[in-house]
This record gives sequence, structure tokens and C-alpha cells, in this order.
Amino acid sequence: MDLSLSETQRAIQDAVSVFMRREAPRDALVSWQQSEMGVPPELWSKMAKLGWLQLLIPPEYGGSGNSLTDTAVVFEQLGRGPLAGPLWSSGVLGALMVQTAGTEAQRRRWLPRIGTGDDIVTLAVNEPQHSWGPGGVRMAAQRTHEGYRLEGTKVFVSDGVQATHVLLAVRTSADPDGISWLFVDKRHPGITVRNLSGFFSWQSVITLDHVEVGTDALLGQAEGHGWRVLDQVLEKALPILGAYQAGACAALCEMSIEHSRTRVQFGVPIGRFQRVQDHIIRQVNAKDAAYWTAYEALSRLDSGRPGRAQAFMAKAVAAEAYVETCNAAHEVFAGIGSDPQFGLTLHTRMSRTLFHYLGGPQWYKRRMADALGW
Amino acid sequence: MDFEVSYTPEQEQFRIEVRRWFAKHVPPGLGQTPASPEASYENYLQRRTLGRELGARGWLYPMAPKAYGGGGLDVDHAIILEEEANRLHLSLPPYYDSGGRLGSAAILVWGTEAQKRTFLPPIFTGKVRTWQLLTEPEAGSDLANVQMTAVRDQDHYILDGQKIFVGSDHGTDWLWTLAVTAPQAPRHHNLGWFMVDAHLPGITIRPQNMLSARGEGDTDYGHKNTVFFDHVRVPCEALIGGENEGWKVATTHLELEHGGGGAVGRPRVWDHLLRYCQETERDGKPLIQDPDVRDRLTEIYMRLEIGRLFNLRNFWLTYTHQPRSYEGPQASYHHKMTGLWMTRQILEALGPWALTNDPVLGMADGLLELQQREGIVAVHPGGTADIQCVIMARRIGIGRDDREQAGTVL
Repeated sequence: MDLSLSETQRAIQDAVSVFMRREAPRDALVSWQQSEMGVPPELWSKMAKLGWLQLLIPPEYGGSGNSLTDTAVVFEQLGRGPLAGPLWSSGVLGALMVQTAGTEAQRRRWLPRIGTGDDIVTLAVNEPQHSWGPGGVRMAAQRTHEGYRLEGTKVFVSDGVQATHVLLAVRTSADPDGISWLFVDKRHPGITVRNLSGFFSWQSVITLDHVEVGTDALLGQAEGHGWRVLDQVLEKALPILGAYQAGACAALCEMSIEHSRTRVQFGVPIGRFQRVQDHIIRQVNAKDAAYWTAYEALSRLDSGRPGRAQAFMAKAVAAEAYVETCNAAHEVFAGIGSDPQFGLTLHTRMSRTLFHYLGGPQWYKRRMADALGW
Repeated sequence: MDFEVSYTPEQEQFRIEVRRWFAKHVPPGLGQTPASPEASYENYLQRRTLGRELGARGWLYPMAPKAYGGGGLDVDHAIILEEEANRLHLSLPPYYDSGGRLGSAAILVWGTEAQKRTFLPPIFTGKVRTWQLLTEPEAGSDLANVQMTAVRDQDHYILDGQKIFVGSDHGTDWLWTLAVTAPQAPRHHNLGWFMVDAHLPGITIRPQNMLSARGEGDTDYGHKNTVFFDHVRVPCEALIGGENEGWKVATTHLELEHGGGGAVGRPRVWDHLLRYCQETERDGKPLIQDPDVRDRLTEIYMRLEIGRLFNLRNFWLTYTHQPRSYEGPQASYHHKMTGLWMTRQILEALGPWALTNDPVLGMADGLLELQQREGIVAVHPGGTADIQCVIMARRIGIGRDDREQAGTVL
């Protein structure tokens, strides 16, 4: 048993932490919050050059072949911002989808370009009239002579505006297993993308109007079993997202503790009041729950032990912990916390965005129970 | 990172040796809950015998230093011993010896060499069992507000006062306690920490009933005790850590009691709860298939898992000698609040059956009914849940620049 990060992981942690302080401090993040893209293109290029999009890509496809835990260490630091953007959508989900289900030719086509950031792939699963789950994927891919014809709308697509390609979950048969994945170039005529307004961080709606793609758009050799692929990918990816949320919670704790020392009301630092202490203790407990569940799942998966139930638990715990930690931060900061220029609401928004992202806590708690074989 | 305790071939060989020894020395059914108070006493005597046999091999306190009668083993061997004991529904020591566990840790840190040689071997070899005496009628959450007095009389101290919520059933050999040695001195600098023979004249131990109090062998008809000291003469050698330094000594065992030492493993009640829900049919189908029951079980499982991870982290921090801060009271707080919250979850999910230990209607041999009571009672010993939060806040440095340090435990 050893619960410490390796030397390499500590070096990664330092590097990303320095980068975040220099390139994405709070005032910069505040100034980007209204922009169309989660990460400014110049910053995106810098991150790509540092190799952060290649972490999970094997060396034979131009990547660095890092472990899930190494990758999570990067995302934990990004979460502290929170820095949004397709580093996750493309560098983790996109890369893992191609690696897991792609043919050899597809791996050679996609992985190196995902790794350099030249192609940015995001996943589109949810539909307007249906909840999360395989039953909710109804968009039909109609067979044509040359491939497939697509019609319909996908919602809650992360970084849809910034992505160059969309990996689309579609129905190729009515069979429960009849879900397949199609690559769609966003420049294709008939595709429109817009960010959702309101309380979201960079989640988009993608509309496909009479879009035709070739058979080579199909991820993998054959149609079907698309949900199983997603399931395998999520098992690995969700605890990385958990680490991102744990990092966000840690940053919120530090902000709140600092405020509890410096903000004076009734003649004393507000942290002298046990009511305020209770808010911060809630945060610390939530942060640690998110951190340890995520890293235990990652450690199991990296060492080849079963980690499915742990990964699903980590997702549920992290989603709830982030919302809880933000709510407590709003209690600590009171009025000023609600000013979008202050920076707290970057987290508040992100915590809500990630709550149901790729399935909500209740969904994953139930999958956890199934995975435990109850 | 690696969250699994893994074993070398030498350690696996040790496990086989331990298992064989246990098979030979543990009387059949010792780990089972005794069916009556009389049977509980018989069971307790057998456990004490086993304790002395374990102690002779250094397996009762496996990690305690050899020089004082402990096993001198490393943490991996200690976990193997604990796991093998757990297989037989026992722990180490196999009887309630919280005073020995916490008190020996305090003596190891703060005792003189002579005191270590006097007090530690009987504890580590199982000759004595020890209770801790901390709470008083006027010293609850404010534990330092001790009223019991210790007045020096040549080479003795004379102890007078009362301690409450003490020990378990079947009595004790030794006890230790805090008493005021300097009434005029400021708080935390006015106390002495004494190791006392429980059979000294002037000590009276009276049973004190509680809503729940686990007895030896996990019976639920155990009790706590009130201990009266009436002019009890204690030799000066019993004062650990020096005159007026009792609070400093207490920081060690309080840290351990607040969860700072950590633990490996999951609470037993979970296995009983899951098995009950899998094996029991209600309205014609297993409880676990009821969506509401299933959802509540997932919530319970998750909170227990988070508690397990907190304990595992604390265990790792302690045995790799890393700095600790708020982690002990955090684990303690989580444990206490989870237990209380579970009473409600189990009551809602399983219905009024949760409230009886009736041999037919009760659930899991009455263990779930016991949880209904114990979840409430357990919020308070070893520092209330609120006190755990107070300690966390000081150590995190909420509203203050100076952070309180965690107590020394190793």
C-alpha cells in the first residue's frame, strides 16, 4: 500500500500547477467566461505542445502512453481553475473511444491528430426528448448506397463549438445493442452548432440537417455494440473527471479558508464563527471524498484490478461533492460570491454542468450496485 | 498509488502459521455472540486466556516494542494477524482493552523508562486489561474541565472524584485517568495523568445503563460504568509525563481516539445489512429488488466506502510517519454522522422490523436493531461529532493563521 503520488506524477503536478498560475489565473478565466470557446486557441496550442492531449495515446500512435492516474493528476490541476475546454472531450474521451473501438486504420488516422490538437473530437450522445442511457439514443442512421444519412439534434455536447469533429451516437438497428458511432466533420454542410445559453459552461446543441457520411465514418469494423464501447471508455475516463472535480473542490476550499481569515465582520475574522466553520468543513469533507474515491478507482484500473464499481462511485461522489462545495462557498462568500466578475461562479456553473454530464449521480449509483452484483 | 495491502511470500507464510496457531488455540465458537450475560462472562474469561496466550508470542500487541513485551512486528505482519483474528470474528486484543491500547500509546510517548518497564509488559502480554476514565459529570465536551483532584501526600497522590461512561462489563484490572494536580494553574497546565490499579481501596465501580452499550463478545446487554474515587492513594510512580503535564499526555490518546491512527477494513454491519436484504423476501420478492431499498443501500455503501478510504488514508499517514492535520477528527466525524444517518435510512428502507430484536421478526440476529440504538449513542464517545468539527476547524486554520498541531501518536 502506498497512497502517495510517484515522483513523475509530482513533477507533472508541479508543471501543470505552474502553467495554470501563469496562463490561466482567475482574472483570465473570468474574462473568458463569455467567449464561445472554453479555451482560447493560443492557450490550446500551448497545451497541445506540452503533450497534454497525448497522455492516453500509446507511443505507436504518437502519444506518451501515460497511465490513467498520471492523466488524472493533470486534470486535477486544470479543475482548480476551472479550465474548461476539449482537453477532456477530445484528449480523454475522443482518444479513448478511438483506441478502444477503432480499426487499426482509424487509430492511425485519428490518434496522432487528436494528440497534436489538430483534430478536436467530441462525443454527442444526449437527445432533446430522452434521458441519459442506451434507450435515449434514438437518432437513426439511415443506410444509403455510400454510407449513412443523418437527421436530428444532439444536446449537451461538451465543447461542440471548439471541436472539429463530432463522434455521434446513432441507432443502426432497433436492437437494444444497435447503437453505433459515426465520425462527422463539423464543416460538413447541414451541420449547425451553438452553445446553450443559461447556466451551462460550453455545452452545445448540434443540429444535423440531411447530412450524409460514408461507411468509413463508422467507428470500428461493424455496426452495433456502441453503448458497450462507451461504457468501457467511461469506466476509465470518469475517475479522471472525478480528479478534475476534486481539484476544483480543493481550490474552493483554499479560497474559502483564506476568506475566513481575512474577511472581518462583527470585529472578528468570519472563520471564528462556527456556522462559517461548518460550511468549510462540509467543503473539506466533500473534497476528500471526491479525491480518494477517484484515485482509488484509478489505482485499481491502472493495476489491472476490477474498478468498474469504484469508477461509477467516483463519478457520483465527485458530481455531488462539487455542487456541495460550491454551495458552501457561496455561504462563506455571501454577496460578493454571486458577482460573475469575482470568479466563484465559474465553479458554480461548472459544478452544475458536470452534475448530469455523461449521466447523473443517480444513474451511476445504480450502475455501481449492478456492478457490485447485488 | 496502490490502495491494496500486498504480501510477500514470507508474509503469506506467516499468515499460514497464524491461521494454524489460531485453529489450535481459539476455542470453537469464541467469536460468536454469547446468548446470556452468564455465557458472556464465560466467554470473556476464555478471551482473556487467549489474550495471555497471544501475549506470550507477542501477538496481542504485535506492533508494540519487543523490549516491553510487544511483538515488535511491522505493520504488514500486524495486519495479517488482525485479518486472521477477524476471520474468527475476533479482534486484537480479543476483548475490550481500549484503555490498554490508548494508554500504552501515551506511556510509550510520555513515560519514563522505568514506567515503560512497569506498566507496558502487563498490558502487552495480556496479564491486565485496562479502562480509560475521562468523562466526568462536569467534563464532557470540555474534557479539560476536570474536577477530580490529586493531592500530593509524600510519595503518594490522593485521588478524589467521579468519572462516568467508563469501560464495559466484567470489570477491569487497571485504569488510567486525569486529575487536577495544580488547582491554581491555567487550563491544560493543571492536570496529572495517572495509571491506577483498579483494586485499590476507595475505588467503587457501579454499572451505568445506556441506550446501547456493547458488551464483551458484541452482546448488546453490556453496560458502561460510573467510577468513584474516595481518598484513593496512588503511588507517585503512577504519574505519567510529569506533574501538571497530564493534558500533553492526553493529546496522544485523544488523537488516536479521534481516528488519527486509522484503520484497514469495512464495518461489519454492512455485510449483515446486504445479506439480509438479499435473503429476505417481503411482498413476495427479495428486499434488494425493491428499487427504494436498493437506492438506499447504494447511498449507505458509498458513505461507508468514503469512511473506509478516510481510515485507510489515516492508517497510511500514521505508519509512514507523515504529518497529519485534520484527518483524524474528519474520519471520526464521518463515522459518527454516517452511523446516525444510517439509522434513518435503514428504518425507512426496511420498515418497523428494524426496531425489534425479536428472534423471529428481528433482522440479522438483532444486529440491525442494535444499529438503530448504537447509531445514536456512538455520536458522543471519544469527543462528540461537534467537537470533531471544532478540532478540524482549528487544524485547518479556519479564521486563524496559527494552525493547531495534531497529537503525536507514534
